[in-house]
Amino acid sequence: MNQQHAILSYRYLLIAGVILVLISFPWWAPLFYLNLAIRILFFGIVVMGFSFLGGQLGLLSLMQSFFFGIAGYTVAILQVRYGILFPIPPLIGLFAAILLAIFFGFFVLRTQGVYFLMLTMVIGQIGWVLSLQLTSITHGTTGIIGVNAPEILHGSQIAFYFVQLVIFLICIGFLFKVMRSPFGLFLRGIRESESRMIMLGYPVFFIKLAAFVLSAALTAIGAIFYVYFYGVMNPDAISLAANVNIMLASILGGMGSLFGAILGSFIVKTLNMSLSAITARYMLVTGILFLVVIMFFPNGIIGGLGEVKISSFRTIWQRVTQRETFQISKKQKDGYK
Amino acid sequence: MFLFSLAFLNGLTLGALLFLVASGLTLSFGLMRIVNLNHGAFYLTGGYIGLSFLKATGNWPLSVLAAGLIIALLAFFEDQFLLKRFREQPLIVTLITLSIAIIIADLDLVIWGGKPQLLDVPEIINSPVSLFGVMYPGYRLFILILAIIICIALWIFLKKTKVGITIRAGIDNSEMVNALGINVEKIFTYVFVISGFLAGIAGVIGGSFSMVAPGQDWSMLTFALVTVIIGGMGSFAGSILGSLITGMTFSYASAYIPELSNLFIFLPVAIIIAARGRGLLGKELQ
Repeated sequence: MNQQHAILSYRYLLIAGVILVLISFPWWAPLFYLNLAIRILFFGIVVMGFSFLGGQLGLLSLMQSFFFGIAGYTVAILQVRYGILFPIPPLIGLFAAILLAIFFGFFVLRTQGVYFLMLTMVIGQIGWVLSLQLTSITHGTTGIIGVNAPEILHGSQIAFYFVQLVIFLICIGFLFKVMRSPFGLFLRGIRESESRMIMLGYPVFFIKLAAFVLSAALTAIGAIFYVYFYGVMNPDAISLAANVNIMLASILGGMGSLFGAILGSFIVKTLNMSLSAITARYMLVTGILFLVVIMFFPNGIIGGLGEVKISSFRTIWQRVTQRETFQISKKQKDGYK
Repeated sequence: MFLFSLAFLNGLTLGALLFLVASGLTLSFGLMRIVNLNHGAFYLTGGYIGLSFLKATGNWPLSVLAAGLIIALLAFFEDQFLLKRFREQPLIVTLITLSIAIIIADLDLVIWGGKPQLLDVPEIINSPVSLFGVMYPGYRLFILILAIIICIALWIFLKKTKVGITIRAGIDNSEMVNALGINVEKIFTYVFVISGFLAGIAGVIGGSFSMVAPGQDWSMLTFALVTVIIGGMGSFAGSILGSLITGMTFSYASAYIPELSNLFIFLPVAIIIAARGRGLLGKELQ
């Protein structure tokens, strides 16, 4: 009992230490690192969205970039072209991503495993091509430039950092709560055996849809900060490569754990920034790193440590190899009546 | 009327090209539940190899064949060294193919540069032909005929030869085929190599009527995936039907609503997923 208490207080001490470092960070860190930290924070939110869906439901989505694009372009277009003032564009962007997540969720959530991956990839790619093709709205490859961040964030990296940090912590706290709630248990139950959950009478499809929407909303929040930080929204931000970066961060850190998502974002963004300064072959390095991670460490860093008990990649592919879980079965159809 | 006929012919020839790319994809999925996401990269690299061969030799048919063979060899090595160890884990294999697609795309950029390049087609097959009141490039009709020939050859291969029959049996019920003492994993290697060969020649053929350019790999992969979803995963006949539907949809959409042509590709996919999840001719996957 005493020992448990000690561990608990150590943990609180650790958390307090981390928060202290995060808060004091802008005052002692050089600007380059502050810049990097901001990028890690918004990328981290997006990766958490991916990890949530991947870890809790076993669904690897390649259309996260699609939601990213919807939110990012909505904010950029509303602000630059129509000159709408601050609180409205991000809210509409978030709302648009949520609406589209509900719409597309009805299609993609009928599938699982490799089929889900394939279908989401098709939608993600169509979104990317559209952003290139719809030049009257998106301005093609150049994208939309001159998206100004709202007054308080504008020009001040430190203010941006703090607002970003607060939202980031809120997202973590919220996801933490969700994963521990009955809802999180439902999700893991569905991941382990969808048919069992249907038999038990849970509205499986709607639970999945809620998780999908939550994941899209997180992606949208990340996208809004992205647009405000760079001031630009272009098709590169929503290419397949961008989505693979998200996936790489999530799997590298260890899918299904929030800490893994943060760790993965940290590694990938740091690598991203330092490599792009040295070489133009950044995608080659990313591809090779992704290959190595998938082949040798599919459980990621956190999963590989084996100390923390979390859902691992292993359970996902075990589930996928069971072929009956591959497509809509009759049982599943009955499940969401 | 002119636009309508032109769109019809374009749809038909695009469908022919899509069939070459998608048929290999659907067979390998049917056999092992593996989606080869570097199929588009195979296509593009095939186009580039054909381009280099054409510059060196000036012989178009030889370039097509060379691209096909080199990509087939690449597919063989990929299967042996990377995919073979993960046969029972389709998701892992699919992610491996995704990473390879990224690697190949960047290597292509290093070797052949980022500028779009056109493959020259021999004059004999490229003289304009008058059809439905449209002067149509002969080369596109040539593609159609070539695709039909390849389709018939594949059909005969699948129906008559021993390997082909085993492939079909493996798609139907791989456990049963395994139980009969036939190694489905070995059969998969054949299918993967054949699909690589088809993607390679399709790269040269497709590069001769559009451009060979970075980005083509992903767009072709998207088209092929759409085709396979519509036709039904694992169904050869479905890939014929799917490629025609995809080709026609895209062609008519880009004729009448060019800005949204890619959005319309999703329309048949949405209908199929909503109404018949396994695709038009796909069987229920158990």
